[in-house]
Formats: sequence, structure tokens, C-alpha cells
Amino acid sequence: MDLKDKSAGGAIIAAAPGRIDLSNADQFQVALSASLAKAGTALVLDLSAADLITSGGFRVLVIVQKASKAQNKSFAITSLRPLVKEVYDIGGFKHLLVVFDTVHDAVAKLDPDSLPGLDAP
Amino acid sequence: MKVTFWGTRGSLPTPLGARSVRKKLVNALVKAAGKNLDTPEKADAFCEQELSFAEAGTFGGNSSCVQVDVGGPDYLICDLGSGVREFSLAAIARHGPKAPQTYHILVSHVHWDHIMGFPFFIPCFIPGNKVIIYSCHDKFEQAIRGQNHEPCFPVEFTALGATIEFVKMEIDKPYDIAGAKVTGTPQMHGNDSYGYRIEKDGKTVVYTTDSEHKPEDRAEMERAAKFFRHADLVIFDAMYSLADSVSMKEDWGHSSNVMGVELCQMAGARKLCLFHHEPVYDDARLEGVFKETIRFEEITRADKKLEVAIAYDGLVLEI
Ligand SMILES: [Zn+2]
Ligand SMILES: [Zn+2]
Repeated sequence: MDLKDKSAGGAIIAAAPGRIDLSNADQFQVALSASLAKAGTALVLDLSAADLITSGGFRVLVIVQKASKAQNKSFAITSLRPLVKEVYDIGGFKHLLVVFDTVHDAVAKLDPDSLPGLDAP
Repeated sequence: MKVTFWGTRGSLPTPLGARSVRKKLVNALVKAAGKNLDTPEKADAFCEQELSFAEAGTFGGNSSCVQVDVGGPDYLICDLGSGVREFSLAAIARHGPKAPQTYHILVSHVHWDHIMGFPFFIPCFIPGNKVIIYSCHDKFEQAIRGQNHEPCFPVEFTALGATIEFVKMEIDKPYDIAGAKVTGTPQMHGNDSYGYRIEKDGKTVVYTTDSEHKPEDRAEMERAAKFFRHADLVIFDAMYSLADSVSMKEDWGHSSNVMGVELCQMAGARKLCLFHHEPVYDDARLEGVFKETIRFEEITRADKKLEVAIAYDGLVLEI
């Protein structure tokens, strides 16, 4: 699975696929863990293309969140579509997974030093 | 088939306290302000039409006990939680204490909340009654006998007047119990637990509580979905939120409403009933979980609609 990683300073911006469920959660976990390994300071997962995330997908987000903490890095998800936001609320993830409206907001908060890299053409 | 829920709370009985009752009263009185509720009928209609279930009632606090009426003369019950006392009072009120009955009881496992009602299961005290207790669990006979024993209980098991038998079931093997076909399956839970698939006249009820399902264990999910296949009703351990079940409470042996929906969708089941409620949740929170589960089913529905219900002490579902 290709998460189209982009780097901005020490941050990695990854883009989630259209659907993450039990059928592709394993590949998603491998790919997102690889993105985390590449990140120096922060991993931001852009969910703007994700129509639906079910239990398998959210579990991976929690695992990567824990791994990022262990590696002293930050992790956040951004740009949740309305249905994904609903599942996030229903699943009770607000104390576990940090959400930002946009990738820009996430980088500005988690790793402001990397912001110029994000804004560069 | 008809399913009656006598106890629906997980882990331990959870009575509604004075403060909760007062809160409900205050809320109802404020909502009724200015309305002319001067007869019991008008007040009852107000409760029915203007208040939510959580505002006007309660999910109840008895621990696991579910009666499955499969149409025959004998009783069939799942688990001996504190709810079994209420069941036994209703059964005795129906027949009178002197008419002997046969009670078939399926035991999921022997954690306290699932057997604690047995010492107060009145039919056991009455000679002429027959009580047959079934389980796939290795230690169910030892645990149930051990409960009726000093210093924990003053009536010894051997002093009980009814004829009591224990039947150790093998997993995956169908048994004829109370006229229904009953099959047991192992579940992921500390000290083991077992789910039961009950089939009669083309209808199927699955009783599956105290069971953890892990989204990363695809093979186990598929095995569970096969056990639930095309069930008319799946009574499901939905104690935790999905977030808790994959983080802090991982490996605590319980599942979530979200996993219940996903498994029932995989299984092509007709109806999911949320069960084994978290003792920390109040009525408003449980009502919220119910609404969210209905919404999650809508969001994730592929073709066939899965109906969603939430159990409460006293709920009757016709299947
Ligand atoms: Zn339990
Ligand atoms: Zn248990």
C-alpha cells in the first residue's frame, strides 16, 4: 500500500486510501509503520481521501499512536470526512487520537519548525 | 421463539441508586411543567410519549440471565446471573410452587456474575423440580457446587430438594436441549467462556457473552461470523467502546458495539442485541451507545439491513 509520503522538514505527511477495513488493515499497518520510521519528528496522516474506516483501520491508528509515543514522535490525523468523523466519535477515540482540521494545522502545532518545508512549492 | 432478558448488566449487579432516581424525577417534573397530568393515565402517556427510555425507565442492574422460549413445556435459560432470581419468581408465580417443572440452563462460564444467582434460584429448593445445567466449561460443576457451601452460603448444595444434573457439553457438537438444537463454541475470555447457538423450527438465537474479538485476528473473526451465520438474533457482549477494546482494555475479554455490528454483518445475521452492559455506564450513556450503534450500522451497511436492539432487564423479543 502506497501512502504517498511527503516530507516537510522532520515531518512526514502520509495520505490514507479510500477505505481501511479488515481486508486491508494489515497492509495499512505495514505502510503506516514505515511512514512513522521515516519521520524525524512527526507523522501526519491525511484522511481527506478516506470514505470509511472500520475497526481494523482504527486499531492500526491506535497502534501507530502508541509506537510514535515510544519513539518520541508526534502523530495526528487530519481532514476527516463527515462519516469517518462519525465513526471516530462512535468508537470513542477522542482521548486516544489527536485530530486536526488540516495538514497545515497539524504540522503548525506538532512541529512548527517543519512548516516552511510544507509550504515550499 | 421468544427471548426474555432477566439480567443484562456485565461484571456485577448495578442497582439504580437514590441519586439516579431523584435525577430522573427532577428531569421528568421539569419536562412536565405546565402540563395537566392529573391522572395516572395522563402521566403514563406523558412518560411514554415525551420521555426517552433512559429518562422514564432504566436498563436495569441484574447480571446475565436470558430465557429462550423454544415452545416446549420445559424452560431454557442462558446463565445464572442475579437476574435468574426474578426469572424464578415469575416461573413460580405462573405455575404455583407445587407444580414440578424442568429447567434447562446453559452456562457460558463461571465468573461470578454468571453464576451468582444460583443460590437464590428458588426451583432448586423444591422437591419434584428437575434442574439440568449444561456447559462446555471444564469447571462449571465444581464452581456451582462450591458456591452453595460454607462459609459463603448457608444452604449446602447437597441439601437442595430438586433433582439437579450436570451435563458437560463438547464444543461444536449439537445437543437436543428442551427440544432445541444447541451447539457450543469457545470464546476468547480469561478462564474460558463459551457461546451457544440455539436453533428451533428454522429460527436461531446466538448467546455470546464474555467474548473478545480482535480486529487483527481475521481467522477468529471469520470463525465467529460462521457461528453467528444467518442468526435471527445475536445476543452480544458489547461492554466496551471500540477505542477501549483496542487500547487500555485490550485482552480484558470483552467486545464492543462496533465489533458486534461488523461481525453480524459478516454473518448475515438479522438482529444484533447489545448485552453485558458496562456497570459504569448510566442509562443515558447506554441510550447513547444504542443510538450510535444504529448509526454505525447505517454507515457501514452493504446491502442487507442489520436490526439493532439493546437489552434491558425485562425486555422481551419475539423472533
Ligand atoms: Zn460477565
Ligand atoms: Zn466473564
